[in-house]
Amino acid sequence: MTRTLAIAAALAGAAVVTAGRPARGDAPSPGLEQRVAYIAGLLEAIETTDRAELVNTSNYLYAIERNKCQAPVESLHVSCVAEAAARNCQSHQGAARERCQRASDVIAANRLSEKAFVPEDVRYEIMDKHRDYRPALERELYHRYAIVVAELVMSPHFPGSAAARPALAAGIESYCRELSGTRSLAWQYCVAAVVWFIGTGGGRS
Amino acid sequence: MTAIGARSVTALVLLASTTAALWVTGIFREDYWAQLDPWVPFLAGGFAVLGSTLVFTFWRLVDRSEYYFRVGDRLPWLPEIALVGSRHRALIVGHAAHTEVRDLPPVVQRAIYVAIFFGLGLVAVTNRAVALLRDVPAVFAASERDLCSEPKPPPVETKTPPGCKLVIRAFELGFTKSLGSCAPKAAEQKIEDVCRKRQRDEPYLHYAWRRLDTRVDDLTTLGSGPGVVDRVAAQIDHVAALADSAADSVAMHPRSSHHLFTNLPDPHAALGDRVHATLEHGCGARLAHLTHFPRMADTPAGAGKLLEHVIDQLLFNPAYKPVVAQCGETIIHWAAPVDACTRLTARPREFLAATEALEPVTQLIAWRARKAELARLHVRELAAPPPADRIVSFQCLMFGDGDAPPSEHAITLDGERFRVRDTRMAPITGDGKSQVRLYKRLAALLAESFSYGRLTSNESVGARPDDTAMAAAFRDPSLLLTKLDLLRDADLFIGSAWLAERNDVLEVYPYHLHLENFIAIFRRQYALHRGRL
Repeated sequence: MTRTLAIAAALAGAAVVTAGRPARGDAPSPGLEQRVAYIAGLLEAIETTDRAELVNTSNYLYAIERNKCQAPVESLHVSCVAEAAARNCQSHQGAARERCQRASDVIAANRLSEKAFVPEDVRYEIMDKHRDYRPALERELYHRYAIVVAELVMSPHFPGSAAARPALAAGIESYCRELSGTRSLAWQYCVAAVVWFIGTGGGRS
Repeated sequence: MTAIGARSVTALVLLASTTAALWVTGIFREDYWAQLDPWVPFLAGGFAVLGSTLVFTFWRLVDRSEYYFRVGDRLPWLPEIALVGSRHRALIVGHAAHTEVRDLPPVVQRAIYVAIFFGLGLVAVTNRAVALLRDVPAVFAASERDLCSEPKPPPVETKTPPGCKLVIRAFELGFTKSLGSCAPKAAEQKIEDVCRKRQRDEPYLHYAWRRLDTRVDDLTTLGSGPGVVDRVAAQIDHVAALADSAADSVAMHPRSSHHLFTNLPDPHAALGDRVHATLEHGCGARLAHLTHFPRMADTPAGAGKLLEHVIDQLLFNPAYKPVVAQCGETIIHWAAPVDACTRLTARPREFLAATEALEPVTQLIAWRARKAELARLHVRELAAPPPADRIVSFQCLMFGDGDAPPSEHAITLDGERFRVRDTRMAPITGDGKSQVRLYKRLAALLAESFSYGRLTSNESVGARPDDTAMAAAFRDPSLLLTKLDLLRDADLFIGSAWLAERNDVLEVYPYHLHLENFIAIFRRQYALHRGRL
């Protein structure tokens, strides 16, 4: 009898304590469906695009971003990269162009997020240690993307390894929104990193 | 059934091990003994006698062994353990206090232990060890640097002064009896500091006494200030202040008291919230998971919770540096009357007493006065406490019709003058614009002369993109991720009105970039006017 009363009191206390807390995600996030669909498209584009083509696009955007698109104003820099990415896909037609644009979007966003993922001091250290620092920097970036993906997999947003692409996209979207809402990493950087890592089979290679 | 005593077995095993070790290290070699310093066997022998005597005495080797080893069947009624072997023939160790076991005679055991320790001594003590031991007295002797240097006789001038050659020659030939000014002079002795180290002929006890005497003198006259005795005598008059100040520090009483009055209802009025607040120790857990820009809950408590969140972000969130306030020291008075600041200015003591704000304020003023008293005493390296209006402040943020910039009044409490700042703003709603408005209004209220504009923003100063162009760029969904980087140049705190209509973009807006900058600038300004005791 005493034990039952104690359990009842504890449950009542827990109910009282949790009563005032707001429910999570009670209102839908504006634009959620579009973002999830877009991420699913990004995943598909990275997975289905030929690896050589991805490398070519990456090299092209890297060269453009480092040379022609250098600008003191951030918005000019970003606009230039976006324009170059769009122009690079103009040779394709229909669905192929769409796929190329999406893959380019991920690559360009990753290029722009380098400073956020690899701090200046680590970057200098890599440049100091390696004569050809680009592959070393790529490896470091991949490591950091892997950490973000590992956090996603361990979070409640991950739908499971056998989940369909839309479910995975929804998980990536909500996880990255939570991450950017609490930490200093922009949503698009998180999405681009995760999509690139998963899309290129980072876990397997 | 023959059992051999464990003491004898142990002695024999140790002797065998030591012999093997000596063999391996080459101590039995003839050439080793040829080069050995005679002191080595002498010291090893001394060590052997000492060690073996200690072992013989403390292990009571004179007694018969209680533990034994034997080979055969295990006897079930005795505490025996079979170590190795078959069931009927095993090596057994057992314990029986009064069993007859075969042991080596005590003299032999003692001789064995002498041999063991002699062997160990030979391994440990080498020619080098003997040489080091010989140097020990020199190492412990007082070194040159601990002693005063030998007094040097003043150097005699040997150079002939100009024009003196003839005078010296005449003196030598006996034509004159004195050299006069040409006489050799002792060089002027340089006045050196008194050597306070040990004098060369000073007995050690005298030197020790002199050091002690100097220390005692130092205690009574510390530097240019008063000595310990004088200082203690002065402090006796302020014992109460000293004790109270120590108690304040130990009890970790609040070191500042900032009050914000608002007419918003208490967002934690529910019983559950109150229990939760009571159970929460400090605000560390809450602050560790603050979101950058939460949506306002569509409930009556939503506005209050948002206000609380904005204050947490502005003042306490440790993610932004420096932290300028402690969460328990900034008190929000919910559901205050709209004219709270007018009432506070008119009758400060009565109003603060009615809102339960008087006690923390007066306690803090008293603590500050005690600190000022102690600072005048130069008890410790205490600086004068900060001005009272840095550690105590009153603000009113009322929501109602229209906005009004902060206005400032002054009140006097317990002889100290404090600032009362009052502002009004239109009610906040669930949109992002309201939250930005709240940030700006609170920042202006809490930190005098706070301003945030294009020059202090993270936006590019040179060529800010046109709002229309930005809005148009986001109407096209292609290259969304790349285009979101454009928002680096769209600071919500200084404009970008188009964003207010794009809730979908606001959901992924890089708040951390602009919010961090806004808070850093606010805190810099806040720290100029507010602080802690």
